[in-house]
Amino acid sequence: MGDEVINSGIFRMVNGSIETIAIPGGPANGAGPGVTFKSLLNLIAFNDDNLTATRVQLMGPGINVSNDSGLYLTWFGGFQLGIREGNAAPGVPGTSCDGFGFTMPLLGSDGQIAFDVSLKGATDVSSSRWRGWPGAVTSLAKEGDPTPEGGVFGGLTPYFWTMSLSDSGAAFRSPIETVTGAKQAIWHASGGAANTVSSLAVEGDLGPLGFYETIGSQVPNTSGDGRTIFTARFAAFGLPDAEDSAILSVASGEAAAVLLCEGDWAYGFGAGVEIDDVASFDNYAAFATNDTGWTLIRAQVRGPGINKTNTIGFWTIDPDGDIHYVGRTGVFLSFDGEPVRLVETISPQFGVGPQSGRRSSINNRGDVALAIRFTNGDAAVVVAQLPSARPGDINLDGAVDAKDLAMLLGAWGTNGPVGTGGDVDLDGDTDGQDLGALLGAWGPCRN
Amino acid sequence: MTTRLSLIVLVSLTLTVASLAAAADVYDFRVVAETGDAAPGSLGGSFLNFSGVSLNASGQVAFRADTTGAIAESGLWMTKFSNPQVIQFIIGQDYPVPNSGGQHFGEFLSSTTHRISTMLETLASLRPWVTR
Repeated sequence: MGDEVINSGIFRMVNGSIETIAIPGGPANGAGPGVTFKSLLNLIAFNDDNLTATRVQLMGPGINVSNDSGLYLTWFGGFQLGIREGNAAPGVPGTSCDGFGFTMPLLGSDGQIAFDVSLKGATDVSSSRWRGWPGAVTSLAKEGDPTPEGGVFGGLTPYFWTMSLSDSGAAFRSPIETVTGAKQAIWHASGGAANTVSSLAVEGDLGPLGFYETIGSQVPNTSGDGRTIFTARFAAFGLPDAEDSAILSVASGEAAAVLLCEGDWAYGFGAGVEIDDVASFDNYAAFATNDTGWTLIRAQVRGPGINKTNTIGFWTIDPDGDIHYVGRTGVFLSFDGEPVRLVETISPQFGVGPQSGRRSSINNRGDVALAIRFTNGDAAVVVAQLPSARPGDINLDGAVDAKDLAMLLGAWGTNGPVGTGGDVDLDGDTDGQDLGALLGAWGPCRN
Repeated sequence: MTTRLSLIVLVSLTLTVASLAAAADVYDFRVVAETGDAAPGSLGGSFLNFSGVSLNASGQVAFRADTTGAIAESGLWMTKFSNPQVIQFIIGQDYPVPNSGGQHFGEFLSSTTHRISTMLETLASLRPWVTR
């Protein structure tokens, strides 16, 4: 894939103006005199501080197949080389970076990048996983490294994204290889210089429904509130096959908890319709977290009246573990008296964690943005919002109380983005109307 | 018999209460744009299809759309910073690429908004400009 020329660029809009970050033919900073971008890969990481990162192909003097790919990111005002094929692998004597394969870099909210790369030289491995600031990246796991659970890390599956980042660390999925075989596991790296890696779930270990039989193939999703979300299938005496998979949440050092289980009633569907297998690669289960304890879930359902046209549902799980119905395929919808149309597809973005630089469709209020396509060819962009997400809960702690009142009074008279400061009524300012709305919603948000 | 009937009533009441409580846990949809809506901005025409929908903490939405525009047929839009009900045009196919030596945007592939709502990252393929 390295020889493919993709005539695409990276741009951003700042204060209403489009800026060019990089285009093919443009100078590749740090790659040598006369070296330019041959192509910029189109799966960009983009964080909340307006920084971006992607993988590039280079061309020009001194560029050959051993040094023609690299990771670039906006850093100190320019689009700078982060790490390049042929660079020495930091902290690994006699070893250099070989190739990035399919991987695309992630870019954390704190500006750290994360990536996979194969290594050659004294340490010759097909995969290794890294995180850090440019010039100070450290290895999280290399194929063949001993794991804290015994055995060694196995080869890492070449996805576009293989990790999830947060300011407090990183999460990834990687097998443990032992003399008796391999078992899949979910790992958390603590962040910081040590990047201490510990397991969150290991096949064969005890979990909330029994022993972990299979860790799902989805990339784990970690968030700023310390949770990591993943899927697994369990084995236990008396546990039916129809109830043996689950979407789970775990914080480092704590026991995993079930967010949604196969066999649960598919809330929002008819009687007898239940959540299908969520650990199977073929069943479209997906999840996205935000930083305030919410998780957006897509899952397949099964049961009476369910067929391939109406088998996908979307829900959120709130910080209390309560489920909320977002939408489903195969249902009739009408917006404000418009014609009734049958939903064919619903397409949110799932990303790999809110602080990974990869977008998702759930924001920190629990709102969800969706593209809906109807069977008649029509389409719509909608924002799904919960009526029970009570206005006035400014600090999103599940209650409208003195803390929210203090925040509103602190923002009194200010104008800003809708929904920020003390803008309870979403009109862009903080005034008496917002105070009235807050006092009217006083109390806990959910029963 | 009486006991059984009471149980049925109790179950029914419980289900009713549960249903009422659950009703508040169903998301409402606020429509941002749909097929046939006029596409704001100089591409003209109306929206056909949408993709790459993303949302920031302020509730702003950005999306890529195909349009029936006479000038070009794809671009990026987002809701206004100050009013989430109003859509503004960001950039469209065939628009000039800044600092590119005369290239123009080709088909738009993705869009995203983040917490800082004054910024939009876009990716677009480029192609040489051909005079119509």
